[in-house]
Amino acid sequence: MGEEGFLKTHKQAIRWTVRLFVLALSMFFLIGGPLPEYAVRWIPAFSPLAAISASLAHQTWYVSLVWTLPALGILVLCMWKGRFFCRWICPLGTLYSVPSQFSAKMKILPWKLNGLLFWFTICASVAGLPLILFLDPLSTFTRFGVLGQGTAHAMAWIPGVLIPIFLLLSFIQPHIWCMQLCPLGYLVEKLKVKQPKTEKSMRTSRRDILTGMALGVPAAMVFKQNVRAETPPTMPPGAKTLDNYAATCMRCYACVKACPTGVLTVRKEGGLAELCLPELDFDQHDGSYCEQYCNACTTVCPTGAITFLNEDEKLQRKIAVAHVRKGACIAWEDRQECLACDEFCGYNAFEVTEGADGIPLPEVNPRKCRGCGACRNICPAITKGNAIVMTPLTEQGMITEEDEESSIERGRRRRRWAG
Amino acid sequence: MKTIDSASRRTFVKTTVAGTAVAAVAPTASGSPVDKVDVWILHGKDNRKLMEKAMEIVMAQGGFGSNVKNLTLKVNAGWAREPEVGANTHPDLVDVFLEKAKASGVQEIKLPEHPCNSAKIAFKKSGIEQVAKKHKCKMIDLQKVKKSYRSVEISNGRKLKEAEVAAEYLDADAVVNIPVAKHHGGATVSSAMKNWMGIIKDRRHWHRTDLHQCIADFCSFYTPTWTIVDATRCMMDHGPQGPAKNLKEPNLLIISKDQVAADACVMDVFEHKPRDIKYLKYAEEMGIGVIDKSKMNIHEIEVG
Repeated sequence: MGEEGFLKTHKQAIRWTVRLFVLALSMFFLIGGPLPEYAVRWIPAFSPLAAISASLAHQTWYVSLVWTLPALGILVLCMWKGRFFCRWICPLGTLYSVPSQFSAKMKILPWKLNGLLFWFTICASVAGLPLILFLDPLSTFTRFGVLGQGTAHAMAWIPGVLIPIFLLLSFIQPHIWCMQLCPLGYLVEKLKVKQPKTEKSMRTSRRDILTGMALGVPAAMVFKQNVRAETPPTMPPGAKTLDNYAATCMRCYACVKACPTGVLTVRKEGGLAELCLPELDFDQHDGSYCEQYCNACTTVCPTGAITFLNEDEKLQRKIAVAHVRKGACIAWEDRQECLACDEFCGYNAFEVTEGADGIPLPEVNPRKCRGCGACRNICPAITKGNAIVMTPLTEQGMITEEDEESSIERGRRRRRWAG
Repeated sequence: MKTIDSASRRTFVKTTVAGTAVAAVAPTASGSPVDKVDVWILHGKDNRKLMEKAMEIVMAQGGFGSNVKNLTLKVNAGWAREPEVGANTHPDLVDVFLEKAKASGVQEIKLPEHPCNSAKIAFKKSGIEQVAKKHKCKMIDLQKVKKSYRSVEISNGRKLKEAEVAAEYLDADAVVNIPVAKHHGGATVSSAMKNWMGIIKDRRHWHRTDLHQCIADFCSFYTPTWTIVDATRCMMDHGPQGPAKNLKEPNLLIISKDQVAADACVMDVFEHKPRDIKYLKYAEEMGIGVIDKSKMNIHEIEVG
């Protein structure tokens, strides 16, 4: 009895201790430091909303049992305890709670839109494109991690700006995000089994579902068909097709955070469906290309937009194709010994022939090229706008043993015979 | 055994002569007709024993100089490749070097490197990070630590007039270069002279403006205290990263104070004439070092 009394009287203190501990822990996962890259995944993996939405969009349960457990745990917990998740665990909730303590307690947003947003997300996911999944609080929190990095473009602030804005708004209306807007908050609230079901609440629920469906499905359809950028992005290894990747990525940027070379960054252009997607940009800085012996990004994706590849699978993954623009090449055009591209190619995809003047001339064997961009990144012909052109693949493939054995010269000879 | 004795005797004679004649210090006046350049070529299957012998020779020749507190070591740890591939300096050699150098009284040894692959992966895969850690030496990733670069003028350069060089290499009391000898697409063979591309900031510039000349130009500015070329296993093709189709095992370690002479001796392994390699030809023309074996005093030693 005495113990329970202690818990009751000190409930606030205990709750805040737990919350701050979870917040600090998430921060630690976000910063990484000595932790393995995949630590950052521990934050968004706790979101049941992301798990459900992404599964609907994939039309399959995309994630392994181990990584299902956190989200499943939250689901079960909330069937029993409801908003417990928001009040005790959610790191973003803790952040918003701080200004809410000093709030003016005014109502600037009287409507509860969270139900609408939730059903919008779910219905859009069913239609194949979870448009506003980036509103998921754990995704938003993870996104925080990338904004501090110099690699992220200002575009990343479009989703990232949510946090500062709602921190400020919480000074006016307490928990404005959590209570009125958060789709995950709605989910955990509605999951609670023991709650009064009044006529009014049933009516609101019905209205939310119908509006969500009426808006979400057509929106997803329109966005899916619409506005493709001229050049597709170079997707990280493990993405399946561009459609699937764009649809299931919730822009948490865990992959951008995990990338050790910084080649993975936030897309600066692109259609609405591809807005702010993580993509590989080989032109950022010295060393920004996809490392041969690295599969960090494939280990962190919480929504399965990037599927897990082990190191061997990653080695065979083809994400783009390089090509030598002979007119800009230092060897082909300026007749100098360069061959930086061949030097940096980890897959021996370059084939070198000697010109009549003894200058070694590089060519790419497209069947062996993985599209890692090392050659593009090192190419010294920058005054001529780089002699290596990368063509991203909208559907990634794997290199076969036959590809590995192939050579340009042999191919040519075969064609000559055939012709 | 005979050769090392003669070597130490030689130095003994040299130093006494210098002492009695009260000659002014002119240690690296290469190409002087009387004074041939010393090159030691060690052969043996055991990498650790090879380096132990090499350090014995280095110490017998006056070590790294007098009162050397901090030493900067240039290895090749630029590629995410295992030691057996031959893309990086063998970690066993580095291990023994660090051990012996520390034992000789050098307090601080740094290993700054501008890697080609991500340092995190390359340093680890090369096995050099582990041995550096073992001897409490710092490996510096010059790709990330950009502030250490300092611009220097290369007054004797024909095409390369200036370069941004990592300050650790400019400020050290002594510098030792332990490159790995391997096939290289652009430079034909990569060894000691080519290894300095890992201490400068802008490699692309060299590729753009006559790679061979830039390599020679930089060596006209920069000379290490010792050069120890790792030719224990050599990629004969698909360099500098490999893996090579043809991996030769010459089991050699080539030591000299003259980096050009060391490189010239390595060319035997690759069956090139030193004069056919453009950067060596330029180096000779510019008087940076000797490539003619008749101007070298070659000590071949069997270690086993």
